[in-house]
Amino acid sequence: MRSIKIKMLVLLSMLTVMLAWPGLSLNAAELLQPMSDQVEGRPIAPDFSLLNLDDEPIALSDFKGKVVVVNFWATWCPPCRYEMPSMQRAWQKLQDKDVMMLAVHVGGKSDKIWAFVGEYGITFPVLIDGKSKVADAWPLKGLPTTFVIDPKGRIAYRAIGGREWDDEELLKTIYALQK
Amino acid sequence: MISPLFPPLLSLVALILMGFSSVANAQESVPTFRWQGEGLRLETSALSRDQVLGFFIGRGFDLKTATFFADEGCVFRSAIGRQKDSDPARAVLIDLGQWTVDVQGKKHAMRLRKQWDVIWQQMNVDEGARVGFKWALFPPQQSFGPNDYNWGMLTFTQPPGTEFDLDIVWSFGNKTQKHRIEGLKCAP
Repeated sequence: MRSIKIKMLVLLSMLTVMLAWPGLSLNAAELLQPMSDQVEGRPIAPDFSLLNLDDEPIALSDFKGKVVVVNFWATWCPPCRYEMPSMQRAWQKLQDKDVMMLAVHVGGKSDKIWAFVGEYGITFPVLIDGKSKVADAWPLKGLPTTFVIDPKGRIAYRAIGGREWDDEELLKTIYALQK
Repeated sequence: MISPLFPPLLSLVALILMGFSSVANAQESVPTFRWQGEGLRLETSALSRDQVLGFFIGRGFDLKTATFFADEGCVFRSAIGRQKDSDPARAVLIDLGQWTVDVQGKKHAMRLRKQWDVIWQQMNVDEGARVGFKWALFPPQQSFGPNDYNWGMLTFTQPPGTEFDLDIVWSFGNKTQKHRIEGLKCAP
């Protein structure tokens, strides 16, 4: 009985923290703007190899020569959840342009991530950074943070917080890196 | 014919609805503090004890440790970012280490990721839970470009129900800015 109470508490708390998010979010219209500042000097993106949800290793260096969008997120992070549908819509456009998208889940267990991916219909690769080793090696401090890597493997852009990833202006910024 | 599962299911649904109702009511009564100026935008609101317990048990904390945190933490959820239309040439930097909690004239520093992690290691908290905790807390330092913002929890480490003012410090361009948010209150 105590276990059921705790499970309900967890469920309700997650829901209320999530439901409370829109009230705390910044003006949604701001999310339609292109990505934030270009990362100065374009540092080399630290390579990583992580398991996807099928326990297959995927490395960033597998996509050398391509533009790669790398999103650090977690299922319990409200703005991460908020931006995920727009990332999926963006992915449907980006994959036709030979741009890769990777979502790196920081911490967590694969069953919860599986459930989220199923619920949101995510089809781009989701990798698990269970001990946060990759997140700690990258220049990020909070979730979500997304980086756009140029074909030379350098970090070209960074976005702290959620965005509307299928915004046409934002997508043009990504496509421009291919030239 | 009524399924033998029906009464327990009905009870469960009722319990969930009661839970939603009480949480929603509690939510309505909790004020959200909003402020913006000199490049910074901030919104914050106290989380109830149950919300804190549920959230961190969900991150892998056991009940005892989550209860310790809920009782000690004075936890607020927050969204902090760059003010809309602020001059993009001027960097916005925050350092929570410079923020001060003022309880009736007595000043306290905030407890940040590193300090909590020392406590969690002493309490033998599982590494997975510590990873979740780290990323759920607001980052100690951050720089905000145009459109940037972070979500995360702030912990003021005061007893439940404590009223306090919060002195926030940030830089906008090369100039240090300060502002006092008055009348914050930890959840009872």
